[in-house]
Amino acid sequence: MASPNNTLYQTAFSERIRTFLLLSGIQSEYNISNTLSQFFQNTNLSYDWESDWSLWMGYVNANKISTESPLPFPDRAWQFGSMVPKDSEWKNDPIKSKESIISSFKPIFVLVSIFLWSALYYLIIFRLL
Amino acid sequence: MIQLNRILFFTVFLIPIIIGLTTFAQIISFGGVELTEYYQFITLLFLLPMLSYGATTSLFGFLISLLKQGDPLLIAKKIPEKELDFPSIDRVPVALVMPVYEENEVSIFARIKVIYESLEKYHSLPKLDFFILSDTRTPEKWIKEEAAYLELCESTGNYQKFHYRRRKSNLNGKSGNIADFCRRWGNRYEHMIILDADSLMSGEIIVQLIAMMEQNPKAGIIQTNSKLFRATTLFQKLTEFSSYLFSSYFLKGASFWQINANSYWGHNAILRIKPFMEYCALPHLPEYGGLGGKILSHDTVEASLMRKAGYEVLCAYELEGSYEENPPNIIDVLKRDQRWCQGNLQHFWFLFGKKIPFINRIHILNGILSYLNSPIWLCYILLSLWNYIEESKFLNYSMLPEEFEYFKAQIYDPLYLKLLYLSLLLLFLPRVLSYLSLPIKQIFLKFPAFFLETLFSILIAPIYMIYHSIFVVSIFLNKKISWGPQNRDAESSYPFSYVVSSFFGITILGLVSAYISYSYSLMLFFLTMPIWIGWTLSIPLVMFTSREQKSLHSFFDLSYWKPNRGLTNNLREELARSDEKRMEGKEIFYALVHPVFHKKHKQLQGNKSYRSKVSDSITHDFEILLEQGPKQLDRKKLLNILSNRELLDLFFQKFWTSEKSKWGEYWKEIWEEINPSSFP
Repeated sequence: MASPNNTLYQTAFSERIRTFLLLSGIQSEYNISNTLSQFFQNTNLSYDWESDWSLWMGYVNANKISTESPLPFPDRAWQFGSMVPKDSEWKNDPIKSKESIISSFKPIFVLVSIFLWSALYYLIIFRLL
Repeated sequence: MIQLNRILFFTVFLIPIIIGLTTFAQIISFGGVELTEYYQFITLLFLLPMLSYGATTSLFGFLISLLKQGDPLLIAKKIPEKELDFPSIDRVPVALVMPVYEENEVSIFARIKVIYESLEKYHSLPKLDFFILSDTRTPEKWIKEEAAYLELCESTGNYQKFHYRRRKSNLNGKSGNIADFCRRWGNRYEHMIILDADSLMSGEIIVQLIAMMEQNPKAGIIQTNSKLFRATTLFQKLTEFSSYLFSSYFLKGASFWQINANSYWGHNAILRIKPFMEYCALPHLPEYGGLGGKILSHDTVEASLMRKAGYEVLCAYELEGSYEENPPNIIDVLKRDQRWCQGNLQHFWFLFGKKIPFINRIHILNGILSYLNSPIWLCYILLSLWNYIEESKFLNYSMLPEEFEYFKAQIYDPLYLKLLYLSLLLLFLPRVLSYLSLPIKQIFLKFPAFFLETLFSILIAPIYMIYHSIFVVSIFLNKKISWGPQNRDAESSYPFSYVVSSFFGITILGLVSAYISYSYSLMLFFLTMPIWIGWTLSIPLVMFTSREQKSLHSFFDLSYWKPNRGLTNNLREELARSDEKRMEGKEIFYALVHPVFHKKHKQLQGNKSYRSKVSDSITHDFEILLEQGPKQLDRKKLLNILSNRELLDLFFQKFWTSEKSKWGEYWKEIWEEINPSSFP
């Protein structure tokens, strides 16, 4: 990703670094410009994004610029990971395809048959007897 | 003694049913039993027991509240603070579990914080851990939950006590979420306290619940009496008032005969984890349409399984400090009822399950009938109108005019009125008893609220009846209803057009039935008024109650019942304090490329390694993500990237080392917000 124009590249790269610092919580423009000039003075840029970025990350780590210590969690490894294998095509409901229209009407059949049976009882008790 | 209570309860329960049924048998016996009369009798077989059950329960609740000592058979009695053995309570490992699904993250973590602070203030429990079990599927929401979680840890300075996990596959919904918790962490804890995303509990009640669990080794579940809180709209105020006035009587009355087989509501309760894991695994129902599939409402089933395993389900109604919220308006309640209805009707399969204790079968039947009775009520009303008119016609033709007049006035109508009075008595007894048991001053002070609440429930009952009937029918016709996130926010009310379109049909129904009854006779018009007036006024009723009616607030003063204002005020302050908007619209940016938050987010993901080589499809996904923005990437793929440490690192690197011209609009917009174009 070599840039054809070094000045343009430097501008873009310093903007990137500046944003990184801003987002890392360094809000003072004085500190930012200090850090930037120090970095550019002490580094030989190769004008390639990847390698320059790793230089910058090395600089950040060496000078402890973003002093974000790891969160003091307990060992969380045991908490994570899914029970479902990542690559499996997990089907939520494999039995679903078995469902037929007839069986889904079963509760209605039950209701209708209750009505019909009770009607039969009615006929026998109040009409025939 | 237990058997005596139960016999007493059921004897009182049966008396009004027998009176009602014999009266009705007398009514229909004039001039032979018609088919419609016979069916009306059958509907009454379902309706009278439910009415009688409610009335008997509250009657016994009222009688128990007259006793100075309270219920002598109550097992989960409040333990006086002096008798609490704090060192032994401290030794019990307990998990406080809150399953959430697409909820407002600020509200969830504010609650956890308030509960934690309340506990710290009352008595710090070193072995109590908080678990927020998220089933959230939206990446943005998930990132916001993480941010809120980290904020909670930072603000309390405690990273060890709070745990947040998001499930990668939300199999089986809420019960699957809890089951997953049990599999992962279950053996580390003895009890778990289950909260809903809208629950709140005080530290005192948590300590009490743990102490009760320790005191009763046979107790599997102890349910608390959760009162409603945070009411803003008129609808919430009304339901909150009724929960304070009526619910304790119902619980007392229910606990009088249920004793060790109380009901469990699925939240604001403490459970013993070991038996829960061993015996309460939910079976898969037969695949019979709407009633089959996965169990949507698991609480009643779990209570039955717990009892089947020989453990007790208790209700600690004496304890104060357990709260939950109510949906802000009628539409949201109906949406919730739609799910509950399907959930309860599914319990049909357990009604005949093997070895389920008899009392739990009553619970299950009660749950089913509370929804199934709506269409039955509808049938009853239609049949009774038809029968009354037909019978009058028949008797009119078969008698001389004077004879008929005498018969109608002296014999026929009084019988009908007797039945009507009986049902009105059963319907209003719970209300009147709990209202009259207040001190005299409170009776006067609470009258406006009581009147408004009663009026409201008269107006709303026919609306619920129609909607519940529609739900029941749609479930029988196998129109599947899926769980959706709930609207718990009082501010987001529905627009007028939405309300009109939802309640237009029922308004027309009201007007038509008013017209028909008027054209038949004036008496019928007034007799059926309680039914059609609710339907006719449904739109203004919904609109009026879903707003905050400040002028009526003073009526609903709850200070007599002494709710835990400290606790609820803490929550209000906590909610007001949090700055919700910081991340809005930038969640993915924060998680993927923000130098600080990205690291934190990465730490929260599992450290399983990915593949040895990144596949082509992942490279392709990265391209889409970078060049078109997160909106264009499939949600599952985005979730996959967001939950893998290696992929997170790779994308972080890719973003920061790519040229700006390649970025999608999403990244550019946020970038410009940070770097106004004047730079350098």
